[in-house]
Amino acid sequence: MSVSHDEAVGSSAAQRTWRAAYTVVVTGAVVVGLAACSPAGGAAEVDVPGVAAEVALLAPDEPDAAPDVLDPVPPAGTVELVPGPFDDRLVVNHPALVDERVTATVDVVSDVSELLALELDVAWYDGDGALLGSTREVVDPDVAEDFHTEGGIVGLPIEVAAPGAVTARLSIPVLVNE
Amino acid sequence: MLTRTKGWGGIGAVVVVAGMVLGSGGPAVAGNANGHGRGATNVILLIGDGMGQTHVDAARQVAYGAEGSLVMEELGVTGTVRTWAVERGSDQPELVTDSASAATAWASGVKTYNAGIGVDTNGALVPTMMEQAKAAGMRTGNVSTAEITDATPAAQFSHAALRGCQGPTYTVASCETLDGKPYLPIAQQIARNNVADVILGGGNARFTAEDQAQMEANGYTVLGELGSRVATRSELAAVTGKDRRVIGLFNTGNMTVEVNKAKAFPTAAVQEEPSIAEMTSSAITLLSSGRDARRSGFFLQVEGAMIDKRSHANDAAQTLGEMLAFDQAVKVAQDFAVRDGNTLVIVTADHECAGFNIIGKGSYTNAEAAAPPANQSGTSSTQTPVRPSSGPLDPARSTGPVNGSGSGDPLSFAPATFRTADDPAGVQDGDPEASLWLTYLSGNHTGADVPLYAYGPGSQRFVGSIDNTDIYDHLVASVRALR
Repeated sequence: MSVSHDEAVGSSAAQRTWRAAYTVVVTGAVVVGLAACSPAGGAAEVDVPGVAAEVALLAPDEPDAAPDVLDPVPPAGTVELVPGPFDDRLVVNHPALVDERVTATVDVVSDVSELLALELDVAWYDGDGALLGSTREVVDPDVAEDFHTEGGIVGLPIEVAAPGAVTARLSIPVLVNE
Repeated sequence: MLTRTKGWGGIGAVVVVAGMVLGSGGPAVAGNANGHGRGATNVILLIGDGMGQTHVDAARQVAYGAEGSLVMEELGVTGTVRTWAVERGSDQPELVTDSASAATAWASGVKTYNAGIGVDTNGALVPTMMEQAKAAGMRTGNVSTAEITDATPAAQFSHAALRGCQGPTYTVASCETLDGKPYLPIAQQIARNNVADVILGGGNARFTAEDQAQMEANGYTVLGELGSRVATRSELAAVTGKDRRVIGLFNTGNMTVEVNKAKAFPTAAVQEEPSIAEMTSSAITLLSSGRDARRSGFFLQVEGAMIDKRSHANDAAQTLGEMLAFDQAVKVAQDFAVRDGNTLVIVTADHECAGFNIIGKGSYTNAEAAAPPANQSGTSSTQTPVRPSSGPLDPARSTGPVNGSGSGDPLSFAPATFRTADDPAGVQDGDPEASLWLTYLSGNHTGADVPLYAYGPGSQRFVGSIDNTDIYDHLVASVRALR
């Protein structure tokens, strides 16, 4: 079975018109378009789909980098859990620094549907609290599926190499369930 | 014997009678109120996420009994919706859709791949109905019991190659780029694009204080504090006035399942979460009052998200609770539409979830059999069954209703049983004597068609079997401001 292009992209006159509008370069900065929107909601004069498309492609802020120096310096072997937006949806168990590797297990118990995205930031430091390195660990959802129980993701093992680490920080900036 | 409960059945009966008296609803007057001619001024599109036909059937049996009906079933126009998606970068059908692809289909009229939000199969951004409604001067609203950045609401007012790009943090892995340009996380898009006037749901943790400042600068009233303090029912109730723009996010993540509000988590914060019916009522009030609504009408999408999420968990009790809560939102919409006379109400789903099914009382599924029988695909003889039975029940794996005697057995594959409105007094949920035996095929979506119910001007366009992209086309054809 095949689908024609018209079928695949929708065939109404209105849809074709709006798709054509997308090919037009939106002149002026997005902020100008946004400013034209009435606070009361009367945006009839604004190319709303065009503005929405421009907004979708605005450059996002880069995530906060790990601090270069920890002050005060935590005790050796510490893995500090950095508070994040999803602290009420997951539990990081047994964080530890073992043989220059950060290890832990993660439970995601707020939603038992399929895990779509889970990312961890790990940064590690020397004995003086100076940053040695950092990495973003992207969990493979297929791997997480092996730890899927009727109560959610339970006991998902985390292990990240941290060469030379004396202490480390762990945060979870991305969590999405189906 | 029928011992119908008065509560739910009474509500349904009142709705039907009211519609007929006012001459603008129900099957008896479908020819006038539901025709094409004058078009609709307002649209209320209600999505029961994961709601298949069995979800409707089971909720009906529990609340009203065999001869009853949910409110949605009384809207007057019925149809079914085909839900297939496409594989990424092609037009090859993907028979089981996810919420992102399905929502993009009705929001933008295009088939796309699973996980795509407001983009076509090649990743090109496509405009959404909510954007077009806003451009046409309509008031716009988006309500969900999920995070408002979740796929179904997101597909009306954001664009992303991957639905996981929800925020608050941008990452390369979750926010795939288009032609080398990364997508802004969905929450940050919502806070900046001015597409929806009224935004109610969950997902406060997806937003930041910077988002709040941006929205306030754009004229929004922000309930609670984005990223740090959830909104409350009391704050929502206090919002009045005309042409208001409001965002209220009542949970850091998905909103609390209705059954749990009373049972498992009776905290003050949870009690301050509005129901989906309350959010729908508030959204309609806020959207329908004022000059812009009088001139051009409003477009509101409402999602009952937890039907799907609790079906993923194979939790029939909470699934049924969410179905009935969603049906109350339908009642709110229909009540408004009956009074208004110019409002098109559509109730449908994005996909079926979990292969929910009703089996015979006292029977069991293949998954419970001691030796699950093999499929007999291609067997030619219809005279001599090669599989006369499904084999004996395995007592080790099926130990009674999962919500009854088998509740403590993690190996149990048994059905969940529920009393219906027709069952004798004394029969309880979880009893083997209960009439309704519910089973699940899996914990994932299925490719089954989903039901559609409609009421109001233009609703006749939705009769019969349609594709999910047809919903977009039919809405454009039915709504005055979009024609």
